[in-house]
Amino acid sequence: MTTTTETSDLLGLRSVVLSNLQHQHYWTDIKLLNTKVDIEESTEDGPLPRPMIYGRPPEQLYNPEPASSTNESSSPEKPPADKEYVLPVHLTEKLSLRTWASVFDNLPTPSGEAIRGGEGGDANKKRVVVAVVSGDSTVVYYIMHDGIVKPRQN
Amino acid sequence: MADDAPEPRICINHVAGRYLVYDVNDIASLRTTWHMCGTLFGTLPQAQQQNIFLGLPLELMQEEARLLVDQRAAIIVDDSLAHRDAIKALSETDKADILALKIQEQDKLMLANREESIKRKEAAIENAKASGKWKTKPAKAPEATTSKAEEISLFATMSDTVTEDASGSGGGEELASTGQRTSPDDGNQRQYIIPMASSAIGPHSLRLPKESEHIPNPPDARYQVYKYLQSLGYFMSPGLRFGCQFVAYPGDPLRFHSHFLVKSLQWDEELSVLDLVGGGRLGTGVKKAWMMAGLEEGDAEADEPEGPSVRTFCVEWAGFG
Repeated sequence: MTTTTETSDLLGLRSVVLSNLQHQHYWTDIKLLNTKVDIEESTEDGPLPRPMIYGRPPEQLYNPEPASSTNESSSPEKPPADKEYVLPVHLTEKLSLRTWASVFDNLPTPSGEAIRGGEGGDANKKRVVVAVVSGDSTVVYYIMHDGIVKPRQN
Repeated sequence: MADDAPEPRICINHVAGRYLVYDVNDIASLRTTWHMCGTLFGTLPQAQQQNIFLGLPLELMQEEARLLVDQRAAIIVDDSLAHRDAIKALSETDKADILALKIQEQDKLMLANREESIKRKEAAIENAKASGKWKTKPAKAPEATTSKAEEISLFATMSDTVTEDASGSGGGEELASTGQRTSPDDGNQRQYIIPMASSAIGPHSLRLPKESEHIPNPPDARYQVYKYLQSLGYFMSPGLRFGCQFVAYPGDPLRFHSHFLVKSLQWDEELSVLDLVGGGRLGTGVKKAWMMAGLEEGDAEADEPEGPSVRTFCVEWAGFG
């Protein structure tokens, strides 16, 4: 589907995002994802629709259903933040719903019940962190959920 | 209209390309059973700028009107045709009825006004007497009664002038000419305001018109997304204020803030990443999520027993970068 030039473009894009994550935002445990085998729990083979990054942010990105009871009690010993999938895109790209859907379809469904005590609600929705790279190598990050997820502040 | 409808259907009047509902009960049932709020946009004719509290009619979005028609909950009525037909269909007895009703109303109004003005006058005289001013001019007392009479006659002429002015329009004159009744009060020839509002025609209803051909036809992607979110219980309203197609509320907008700014897309329609960033940033700024949605067109190998479904993606700022 993607030609080799496009692939190398996407890899270049990813390297920009990678260094930004590592050095500006201090992400750790970073792993590069190129094929479906790179994703844990995945048994299929074949390339991912787009190269991605898997890593751990220094702080937990927001949970759709925060466990309010555990928040205050466990403040001295914070559990490590959940790892996130990062999808690098360029600002001038144009993507269709089909593309977005294919990105999500290759990700495992998070098992949110055990960790967050949700009842299979928003915590179980797949999500990616979309890293948008602009021409001057500024990177901005947006969280995209697969499905209807209540906004965090509402 | 067909008799197979289990209950009276909501009339959606098609006026100049807009879909309007005029009946308060219909509007209430739209809100409670269909969770549709629509947009009230009626203003006072003399104060169009006082638009904080708007009244009837209620405008529906194309998607709302279409859904109601599809669910056989409403019919679309071509407003101008319906009015023309209804007025043509008024029989002589109808006209006499309306006229009698109007005469009654006006007589009642006039008597009430007259009594009120007499009372006011008497009260003024009482006040004057009480404050002592009255005594200083005892000779004026008979004059007061004449001025009272003058005021009454003045009032009567004024009210007649008003009615004459207002009845100059349309069907009013025609109907008034059939009224041969002379008033018991003053014997003057009177003219009557007959506002041709649907409500005044009462049982001779405008609710039995032919169904219009103007079935709303919103773009498919929009309609599918609208229908999907609507079926999940969201209150959908027009998205102008947030630069999107719909704003989705999780419950009645009087009780909830909206959650999503909705942008519908076709499955293969390309959307610039910049639009996504703009939507996400705007949405986060107003504590909402920006949502893009569309009807999923599966690949050949994908087997979907439930047929095509709407897929949604919600975007918010990640909180860093």
